[in-house]
Amino acid sequence: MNKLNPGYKFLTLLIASLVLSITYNIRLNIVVFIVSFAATALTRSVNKKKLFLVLLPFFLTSAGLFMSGFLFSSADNIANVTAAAGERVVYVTSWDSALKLSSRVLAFGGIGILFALTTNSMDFIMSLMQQFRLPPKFAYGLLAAYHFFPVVRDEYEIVRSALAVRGIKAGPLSKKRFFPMLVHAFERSESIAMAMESRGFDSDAERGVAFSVPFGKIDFVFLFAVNAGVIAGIMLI
Amino acid sequence: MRLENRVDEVSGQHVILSCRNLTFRYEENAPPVFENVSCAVKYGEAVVLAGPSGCGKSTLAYCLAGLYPEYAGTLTGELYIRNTAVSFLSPSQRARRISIMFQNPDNQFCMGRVDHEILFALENISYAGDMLARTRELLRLVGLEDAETAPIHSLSGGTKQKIALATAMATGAEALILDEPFANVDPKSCAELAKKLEIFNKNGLTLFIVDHKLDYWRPFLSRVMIMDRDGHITETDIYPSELERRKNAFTDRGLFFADEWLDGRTPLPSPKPEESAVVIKDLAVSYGGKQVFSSLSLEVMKGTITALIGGNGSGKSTLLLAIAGLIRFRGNLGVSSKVGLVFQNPRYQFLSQNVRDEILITLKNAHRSKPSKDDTAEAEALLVEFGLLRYADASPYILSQGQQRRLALLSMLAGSRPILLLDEPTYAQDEQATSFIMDLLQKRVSRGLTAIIATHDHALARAFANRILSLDDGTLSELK
Repeated sequence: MNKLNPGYKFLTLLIASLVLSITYNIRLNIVVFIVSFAATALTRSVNKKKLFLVLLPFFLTSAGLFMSGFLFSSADNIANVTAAAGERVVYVTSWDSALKLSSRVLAFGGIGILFALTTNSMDFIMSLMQQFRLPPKFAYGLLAAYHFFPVVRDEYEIVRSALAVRGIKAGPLSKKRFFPMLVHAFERSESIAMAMESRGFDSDAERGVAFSVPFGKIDFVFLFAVNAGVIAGIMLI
Repeated sequence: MRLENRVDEVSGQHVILSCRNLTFRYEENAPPVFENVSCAVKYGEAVVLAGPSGCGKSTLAYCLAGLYPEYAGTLTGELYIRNTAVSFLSPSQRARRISIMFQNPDNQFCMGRVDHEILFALENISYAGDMLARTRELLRLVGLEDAETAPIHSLSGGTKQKIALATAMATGAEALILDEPFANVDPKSCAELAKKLEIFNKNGLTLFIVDHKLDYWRPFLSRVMIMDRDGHITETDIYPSELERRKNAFTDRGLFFADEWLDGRTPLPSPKPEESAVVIKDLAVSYGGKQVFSSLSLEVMKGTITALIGGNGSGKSTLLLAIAGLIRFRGNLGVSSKVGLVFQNPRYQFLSQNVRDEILITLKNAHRSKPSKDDTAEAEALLVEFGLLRYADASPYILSQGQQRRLALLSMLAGSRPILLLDEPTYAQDEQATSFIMDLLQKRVSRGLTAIIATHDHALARAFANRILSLDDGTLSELK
């Protein structure tokens, strides 16, 4: 999975999600989830523990939606009463709508996880730049911002300590914490912009390619095969 | 615009970098940072521009690098790289001629990995050869061949500056401007970096260095220029052979000349009878998943200054955080009274929009009351003592580095905390600012304050500290 071109992989999965969103086919949703899960789990670089942790919220949401769809259905077809859960009357249609809702969460979740866990963020941005004409200004700007995160995390800790040592109480989202960080963020973005420019970064000039992201027939095959599969699934399953 | 090839009239050497009648203002109607500055740097020189903090020497460096006025302010006058006006060059053309190394090692990288950062620079100039091979070569030149794929944020300040150097060299620049490149780097890494720069200089790289300390540059500098507090360049060529003879040119302007300002300074005697202020026994601290110390013991007496010495990453800051009770630890740690901590970067400590409020917040917290007239009077008195009254209504963020550090120290002292921990209180400051802060501290210590200072500066420690402790590999040892 991680040998595919990230940009085309994104396009493929985006189209697949859109196609999937026009249908409420429960079995197809489940098939899509299983296939995505299998493809993710079989990719060698994916950390299996992480995969299960990431899946957990999707399962919970899916289960939650199932219960709400099941118990609070808007269906009014009294003829189809099948069972009683406690005091509540449950309809046959409730099963159906509950499964429709919950399986959708799993299908979209599966696709999202497949992309997120098998794609390197830098390769993805480089591929957007090389194959989808994202201007370098945005591409490298995004990368610089992305690499900010560890520094901001450290900074948050320092500000916390700095306030604590002065005996000032500030909640985790307090303005007092964010003010110094905001000032720094402004300064930092300016100095990174200056640094990029002094290393010769010029958004209008021709630039060499050091981070070439491979792109080939296999990416087209993937694009068509996956989407043909989903469309076939809608018609056949 | 092309001129004839500019040649220095006296030496006959080619001029690589020159400016004439430069005047820079941060805002249209503000007073100029510097006015009618002219200077020239010749091919292959290593020129040091010295000057007191806040005189405008870094601003001049940014102008010479072509970054100002694009990023800030307005500039008039002429500025040339070789014989081309800087404003006629695009960033990628400019980068092939001149590059800059910044003061703060954290804020100059766009990529996450060491090799990627260098490849990024090679991409920018459309490097024609094998980019990977060139990256390895540059990393070898700065001594980072083993760190090729390391994540940049996990590295020390000194290593980051080495990456910055390799990246600056990647564009093939003939001249390098350095804006106080050692301000956040420990002495060992400073010496290593200076050695690398010396080699690059010997191989033809022109250096224009902005710094207020000459120490590391003395072995190979070509000449020193001095900028005065008012932004005028008053000395343009003090040559290495004249340095000793001309040392007054530095000391009279509040600039360091070696460690001479410390001559004759000795620590205050420790008060008798001795009473302990901090007692630590078998302290164990893990920070960021790593064990920093496993069994550390220390006793600090009231009314003394203790210096903690050690390289980057030796755990000095972690020990201070533990004493201040800001991180979790195991073992016994007792303090006799409230502890204050002044961070290495004082800017993280500021809370308010102006300097006076900064002090009032601390006073209010210390007195646990609403701000009163007494507090205001007390705050003003403290601002006078610390030489900051003039800035009472200014934002803490516009103060110079030295003033910010004084303010951070003051905002801690105002809270009447009898134990004060200081993390690198003299970093990146000129002699005047350093002696100002150390004198203030010493005065408070003579009145009973207990201070623990983490520093790289052995000479400073010897001049002020009653005890010097070296922290290395998680163990403390006393230096005599």
